Order: sequence, then structure tokens, then C-alpha cells
Amino acid sequence: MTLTNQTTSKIWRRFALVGVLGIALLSLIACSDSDGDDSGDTGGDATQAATEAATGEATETMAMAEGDGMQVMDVWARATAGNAGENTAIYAHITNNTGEDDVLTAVQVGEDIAARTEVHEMVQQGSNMVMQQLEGGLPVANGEEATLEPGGYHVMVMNVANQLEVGQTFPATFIFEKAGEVQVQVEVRDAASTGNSMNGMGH
Amino acid sequence: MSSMRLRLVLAALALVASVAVACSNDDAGAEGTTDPSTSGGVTVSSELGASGALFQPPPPAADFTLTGEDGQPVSLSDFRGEVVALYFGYTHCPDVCPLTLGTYKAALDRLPPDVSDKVNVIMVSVDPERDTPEVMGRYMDLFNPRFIGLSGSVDDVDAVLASWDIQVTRGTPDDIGAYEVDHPAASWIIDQEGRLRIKVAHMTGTDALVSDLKSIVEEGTK
Repeated sequence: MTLTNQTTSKIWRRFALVGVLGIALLSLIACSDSDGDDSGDTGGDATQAATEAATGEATETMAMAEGDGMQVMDVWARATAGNAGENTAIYAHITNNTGEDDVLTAVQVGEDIAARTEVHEMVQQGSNMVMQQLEGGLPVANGEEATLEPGGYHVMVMNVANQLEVGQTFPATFIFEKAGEVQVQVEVRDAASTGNSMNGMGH
Repeated sequence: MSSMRLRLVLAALALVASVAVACSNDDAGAEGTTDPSTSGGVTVSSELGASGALFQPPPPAADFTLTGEDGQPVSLSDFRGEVVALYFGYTHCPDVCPLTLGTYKAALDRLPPDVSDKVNVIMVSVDPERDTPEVMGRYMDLFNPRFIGLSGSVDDVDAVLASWDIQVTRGTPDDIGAYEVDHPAASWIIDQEGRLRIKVAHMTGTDALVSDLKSIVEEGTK
């Protein structure tokens, strides 16, 4: 894997994200002044929508990362507390330069890590955010990038066998419908990590 | 000059109106409407609300007593005189809860110590059967040893959720005993006088939290 490309794409992503978020926030402010908005949990919904829009656009911008095949980069999991049967999440950036559209169908970890994993999306239901298993997996179109990140798509890791501590790594297998298996090392990071999406850059 | 002033007034009025709309249907009981005659307070509050919807006027936060990480009773009113950020989550929550607590941690890390010392981040468990005080203690310490985890019997927790008008859905344990609990994505900022001030939106960034927490703490130290 080319470290340079990865770094460049990160920088691009930060720029794009900051810009788009800024615009999204400005437009948010603008419309909350002019119209009454719909009733309900307005603040939450609007911010949520803006964030989703920003993330979506940023994801497209960063599809310029180069490299061959299916790349799964920046793979990390949250550290755990050492409680019995606890859960965690795995996040990653996936770039599909295979020449054909593909789908992430599953992510596997060893039994020494956890009992089961599921690829999840977050869906707003009323004032609650609800996790849902992704029906049919996560599509990654050719030439595009898919991001699993805090508050969005993630791999839920269930019944963690042993406490995961910051700095530790463990192997995982990302399984795609066409590209097959991609072996990666998952880096365990601070449980409080917010990723790059929430002004968490100083983190 | 006068057109500038007019624009400011209009902006302030628009802000009040939009905040009133945002708060009007709030499920935590922000049922008051904004009285234009209180617009003298707008100068201060117009800086607030980067992190979510403002309560205007701020209603008292419903008090409760639950069990702290050391097994001792802890009441919301114990924190009167300081600011509370209140969240309803659970330790088996893999993504949204750590993201929310992580964002509060990042915000507190960025605030000057004399400000962050006056902010108490509390998570009330919506999953008290698994979240014993001991489990809550280990989990909250992952984020910040000062964060406070509260739990209790299912009945006690459900009574708190009912008084805060919070709906949770507890799933049924599957073959490996795993289940999820649907819970609010928002959190609440309560001021030194025990009043609800902001319903913090899901996915709020660190900058917005830093700004609002600082403003509310400084209000109380004036």
C-alpha cells in the first residue's frame, strides 16, 4: 500500500470536509432564519442531514485516491473497558479501483477477538438513532471510496473476548462479493476517538 | 449605522423565532414560547446554541436519584452550582455512545481547566441489567475518569426515563446473549441553576460544544 497516496487523500478529505461542512452550516443558518422549518426535532434533524450531506460529498471528493484493486485503509477499532461480553466497532476507508462495482458483504475477526461481527448503518427513528444491519452489504462502486466512520457505517464487533487496548493490533478479513477477501490489521485506538469527521483533528 | 443596527435586531429576532420553533416540540418539556419582551436576554443567548436547540425560557430539569459507580446514590440536584451534560446511553453501544462521550471528552480537553472543572458529563444507563455500577465505572473511565455513570434497578431507571419523556426499546437477547437498546441520540446541557438550556444534537462537533459549555459556565461565574 502506498503511504503517500493515503496521506494525500487524508489531507484532501480534511479540506473537502471542512469546506463542505462550513457551507452546510451556513446554509443551515440561512434557512433557519427564513422559514419556520417543519415541526419536531428540528435542530437535531437539520444538523444530522447537513452532516450526512457533508459526509456524502466529501466521500465523493476523496475518490481520487489511487492504487490498484480493492484497498482497505486506516482500519481501526475502539479500545474496550474489559467488561464481560462488551462490544466495539471497526472503522475503515475502502477504495475500489478494481474496475467493477463491488459490495462489502462481511468482516471477519478471529474467535479470540469476538464472537460475531455485523456491518451496520445508523438510521434516525424519531429522536433515536437506531443501528441496523446493512441489507445486502455496503456497495462500493468502481472508482469510489466508502467510509466506515463514527456515527455512520461501522462494523459492530460483538462479545469481545479479551479487552482491546490502545496500540494493540489484530487481523481482520474484509470480504467483498467480487474482489474476495482482503486481509487487514486493525489498530486499536482510544475509545474516545471521534474520527476525522467531528472537528476531532486535534485528537 | 442605523441600517446595521436594524439588521442586527432583525437577525436577533429571526434567531429567537427559529429557536422557538426548534424548541416548541421538544420532548423534554420546553413548552414555553419566547416572549419578545425578554429580548434583552437575546444578546447573551444568541451566542448560545451552536450545539443544538435552546430552551427558552429554560425549564427546570427533572431531578432524579440513581446509583453511582461506587454504589452510592447520586442525584442530579447534587450538581447544582455546576454544569451538567446529561446523556442516556449504555456500555454495549458500539458507536453512537462512544462518539458522543468522545466528543464531550475532546471538548473538555480543549476548555481551560477552570471551566472544564465545572462541567460534569453524566451518562444514565438505558440498559441497567447489564450496566451495573462496576461495569459503568470501568466504561466511563475509558473516556475520562471524571465522567459519571449512573445506573440502578430497571424500575428506577425506567422511572427516570419516563419523567424525562424518553423512549427506549430494549431488544431480545439473541443466541449469544447480544441485544441492542434504542435510545436518544441527543444529550442535554443543564446550567448551574438546574435548568435545561440546550438539547445537544446528534453528531454535534467539538467546536460547538466548546463554545456552548464555555458560555454557560461563564454565565454562572459572573
